[in-house]
Amino acid sequence: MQSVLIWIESSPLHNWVLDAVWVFPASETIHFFGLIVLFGSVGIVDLRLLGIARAIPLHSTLAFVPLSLVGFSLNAITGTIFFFADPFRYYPNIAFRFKVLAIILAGLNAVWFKYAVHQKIVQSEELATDAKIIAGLSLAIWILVIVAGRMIPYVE
Amino acid sequence: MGEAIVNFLEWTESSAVARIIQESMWGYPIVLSSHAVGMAILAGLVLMVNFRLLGFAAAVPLSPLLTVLKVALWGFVINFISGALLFTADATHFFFSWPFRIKVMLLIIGGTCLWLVFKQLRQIDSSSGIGTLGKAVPAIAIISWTGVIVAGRLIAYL
Repeated sequence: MQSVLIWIESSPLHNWVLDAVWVFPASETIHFFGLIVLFGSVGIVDLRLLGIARAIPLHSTLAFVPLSLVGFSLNAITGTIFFFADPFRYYPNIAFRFKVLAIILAGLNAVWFKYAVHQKIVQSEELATDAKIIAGLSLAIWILVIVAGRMIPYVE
Repeated sequence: MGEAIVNFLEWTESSAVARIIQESMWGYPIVLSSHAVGMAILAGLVLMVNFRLLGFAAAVPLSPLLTVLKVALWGFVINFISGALLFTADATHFFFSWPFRIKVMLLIIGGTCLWLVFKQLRQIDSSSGIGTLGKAVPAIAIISWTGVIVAGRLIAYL
């Protein structure tokens, strides 16, 4: 891993982020925008799965899912820029590690949704218990991701 | 007048609440994290509702979106409280910061749009259209809430 971090520090991307002073603040702003697009789109599906705003047909909320991928992509790109700017600070940081772990869990949860719930929603309106568990987990994990991310500057 | 404001800002910064945030190890990060979570709930859901009003996800009926906006208001409550606490801890800096002033102005515009959308959604009972509201209000809402986030982030830099 050490050699990867050393390679990152000698990469053109690393130098670009440090040389152009606007890149870091601009990426942070985009990271926040990506966050609300991701959380908002995931949130509206999860809230409906949990039984809030039942008058909305479940399958119609699936139109918001592509926006989650947009938000996630924006944040994967800007997140990579942050990591490249200071790899030796992020890699050992406990909040950063927790955040990455939580994102992986959110991803697995999304895979569970895709295979256990997605088809059922498209075909019928019946809500299984696992759908509510997935929705609750999704909201909880993404909130943890946000909190862990905000904690990165305050822990080692 | 100017002096009275400065005195007030300095009094705010030296208050007991401000002290807790300034001096306790976890006070500031906890309040800051709450502000980010509240932002996700408020701006995230508001953005999705306004996307719908612009015609995105057209199969989603409009009137139940009122319930979604009520959840978004909890994000507003979280952020009003955490925002006030953050302001208290560093009142003079925030008061004279231009990104902060722009953020407050955009919040007033975004808040007004939210109130108009709320009123409108309460009146409709079919999924047909959004009546007199049109697409101007949702478009302004999306721009101003995005601006709130941009300005908020730039407070740390400008």
